[in-house]
Formats: sequence, C-alpha cells, structure tokens
Amino acid sequence: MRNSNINLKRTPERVELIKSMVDPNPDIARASQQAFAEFIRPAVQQVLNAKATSGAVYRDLEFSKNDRPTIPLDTFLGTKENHVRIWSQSVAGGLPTNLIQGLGEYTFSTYRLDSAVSFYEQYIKNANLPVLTAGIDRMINEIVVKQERNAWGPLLAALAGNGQVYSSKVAGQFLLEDLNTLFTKIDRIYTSYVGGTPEGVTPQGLTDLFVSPEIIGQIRAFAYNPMNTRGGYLSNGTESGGAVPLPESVREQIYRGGGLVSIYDVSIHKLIELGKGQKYNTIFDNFYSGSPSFNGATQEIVIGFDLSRDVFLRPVITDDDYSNGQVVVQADDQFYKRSEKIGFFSRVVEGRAILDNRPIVGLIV
Amino acid sequence: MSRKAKTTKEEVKETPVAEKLTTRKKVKTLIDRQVDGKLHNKRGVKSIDELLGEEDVTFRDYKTEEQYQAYLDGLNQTDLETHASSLSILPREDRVSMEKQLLKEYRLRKSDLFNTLEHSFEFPKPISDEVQRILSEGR
Repeated sequence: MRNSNINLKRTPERVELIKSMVDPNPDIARASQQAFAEFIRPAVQQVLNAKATSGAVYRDLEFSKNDRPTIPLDTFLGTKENHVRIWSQSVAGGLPTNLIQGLGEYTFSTYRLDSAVSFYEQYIKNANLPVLTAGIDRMINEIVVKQERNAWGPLLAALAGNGQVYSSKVAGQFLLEDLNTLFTKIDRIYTSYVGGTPEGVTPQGLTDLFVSPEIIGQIRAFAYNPMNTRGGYLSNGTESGGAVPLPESVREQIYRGGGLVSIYDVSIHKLIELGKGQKYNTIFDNFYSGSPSFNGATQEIVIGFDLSRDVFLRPVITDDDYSNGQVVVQADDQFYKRSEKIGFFSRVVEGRAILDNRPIVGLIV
Repeated sequence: MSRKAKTTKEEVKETPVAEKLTTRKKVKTLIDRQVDGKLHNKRGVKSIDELLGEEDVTFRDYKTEEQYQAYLDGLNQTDLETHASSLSILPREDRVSMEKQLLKEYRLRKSDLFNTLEHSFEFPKPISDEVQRILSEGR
C-alpha cells in the first residue's frame, strides 16, 4: 500500500458543512451528510487508485452498472491461437481460478468491496478535521487491503502455474546477472504464434519488478559491492579473480538516491508483503510446486512483469447515479439519534482478470 | 473383331427372384424428386423450415467442419447468400469463394463455440489455513 492520504483544508464553508452534519434538524443533518459524502467521493477515488500497488499492474476497464462486463478476447489479445488461459477470481477473498476458453466474448466476474466508518458527534460538532480525515483514510485503507489481496492472489497463482520461475545466480543474492536472465527469459517466452519475432504489438520485455524491502536493501548495496559474476581473462586464457563494481557514476547515483527506482529501465516497486515468511511469499509457496524448488520461509520470490502487454485487467463497475464514478460514498443511515454517531460507507464493484500469464516471470532469491 | 457375349436363356432363368427385387430401381419419393436448385441433398433429410429457407442457422448448429460443409453444399445460391447475410458476412456471387469465406469464419468461431470452460490448473498442495486467512482479508 502506498502512502497517500486525504487532506481536508479548513475553510469556513467546509467547517459549516461539517457542523451541519449533526444539526438538530434530522433533515438538514441527513442532507449535509450526503453532501459531504458526495464532496469527498472524488478524493476517495483518487486516493484509492494511488494507494493500491496493484494499480501499477492492472488496467481499468470501466463498465456501466447496467452493462454486461464482457470483452471480445480475439480483439483484445490479437492472437490466432484457439485458446486462452484466463486467471481470475470469482468471489472476493476466494481462491484464484484458471480457465481455458476459446477466443470469444469473455464475461468478467465482479464482486463488491465495501467499508464503513463512524464518528462520535462530538468530533463533528467541533469540526475536528484530523479525526474526520483519519476516519476516512481508514475507510479507504480497508478497501485498498481488500483490493490488494484480490489483485495479487490471481497474479501469484498465474506465476505459479506458468512455469516461468527461475533461481538466482547466487543463493540469497539479487544481482544484475539475475535481472539480465529475466530479460532474456521473458524475450524467449514471448514469441509470435509461429514462434518467431512478434510483429504488430511489440512487446518490450521486462518492464516492472516487484521486490521485498530486503531486495531493495541489496540494490542499495550495489553502491559498495562488486557486481561481476565472472572475472577477466589473462593472456594465457585463464580466468582471473578480481571484483568489479558498477561504474562510479551509477554507484554515486545509488548512494545519493538511497537506491534505484529503475535498473536497465525496469521500474522497481517495493512490496512489504514480499520477503521471507511474508504474506505473498507464503501464498506463492502454497501455490507453487516444481523446479527450482521454493521454500517461503528461507527464500523469497521476486516478480517481474512485461506490462507492455495489455492482459492484466481490472473491470470496474461505474455508477451513473454518482457521476459515473468507480467509488460510491454515502452517508450511513444505521445510527439512531441516541447513539450520537454518524457514519459513512464506501463501496467499489470490481474484478480482476489475467488474460495471459506469460508476461509474468519469477526469480527465487 | 470382338463379339458381344450373348446372355443365354439359362442364365436369365438362374437369377434368383429375391436378387431381382433388391436390384429393382427405387421409386423416388416426393422429397427426392423435389427440384430445389441445390447441389445435392444426399447428406440428410431437410426440414420444411430448412427447405423454405426460414431456419435461422448459426455456426453453433454444426459441431464439425464436415457437417457445416455438408450444410453449405445443401444450400442453393440464394440460401447461401441469405445465410452469409445472417452471419454479417457480405454475400458474393462466386459460390466457391463464398463457401471458402464461410468456412474460414466457421473455423475462427469454432473454438469459441465448442470449447467449454475447464479448470486446467490444480493447486499442487492443499491450501493452508494461513493462506486462506491471508486471502480472506480480501472479503
């Protein structure tokens, strides 16, 4: 989850609106609460999109709530293969499923993710903005957590099932050599349907890498550690030892920047849920079996993507009652006057689908 | 000079009656004698709707390419053009290229129509309680 929060500025109009949410007249209070919900809805949507790390992988496909969420696969994939393998999840929090389907119309499974928050009226009466924004942040975070689990589940299952997992050159170490290997592997995987160089939609190869904080630490260590995996050769043909670091300018860049945001033009993303014994590592360990072997307690998985392929999709249902927004925020009407509370709830109806699992590679470090 | 062999009276007499009956020319029924302008109609009995060209035929009705080819063979030119139009394919006068185009479309759609969804990946290990707990955070 990325760090991005709601920030409400204190203006006289906003203070007045917030105070009127607990007006003694229930009609005024209710109308003000709904007005406030509508006021924060765009901000909630913006923060929601910015927070989810899976937002870097999936592309949104918006469907109206009265529309059937389908896409023509042949148009989307531009492939002449008869079948495609689609990874998706039919219910929120469920297991990912893998479906083989002919090139026809594909119907997405969508599910509803929601969250609610409530406040004591005393905070609202005093227009206590920090409490209000913290509560709304909490509401957003709960949806983001749900989104993340539902987004990464199918990705990890797709990686476990595609046979594109490799091991690092040196156990426990992430080196440029490993990144180079992933580049080569993903290039070899993505051929045209006759096995040649793809034409038309040109794949870029590896574009994004999701790693644990420990791997980020190893990347920072590039500034002071050797990087070569083979020595130079002497005139008699024998290999010499000798440690060779990265060029001075690159090491300085790593030192000053506290790491690198990209290597070989591959964006590096940090995921707290990756790393030994961490959540996504544990899920991958359970989903994966094969060679090289993987132990989630002592090894970690680094996940690489070719995001130039438009195959990671997030169908999201927009609501035309709420300005065609993806997120709906409404005043919660479950509180009686004597409870001295007011609340809001938020919901998103979305799904996840991976139309092709080949643009994912894994590296066991 | 070759001589034509004559059939003797004895040979004619020896032909069994049962054999004669089986080799008797079959009397054509009304449907067999129907002149409908089709290339041939030997591959199956057609329904009245089909004969009148009122049946809405889609690719889904034919499970193999051979069955679809047989259906196309059974269509006259007008029926063929009507069928193409119903599938949003521009009709052509040239029957050969029209059939070729329809078969091409059939092949493209076949995998979509007749390959049902199936699970092809099974998780190699039982899903642990911990993984279920992590995934259930998405509920």
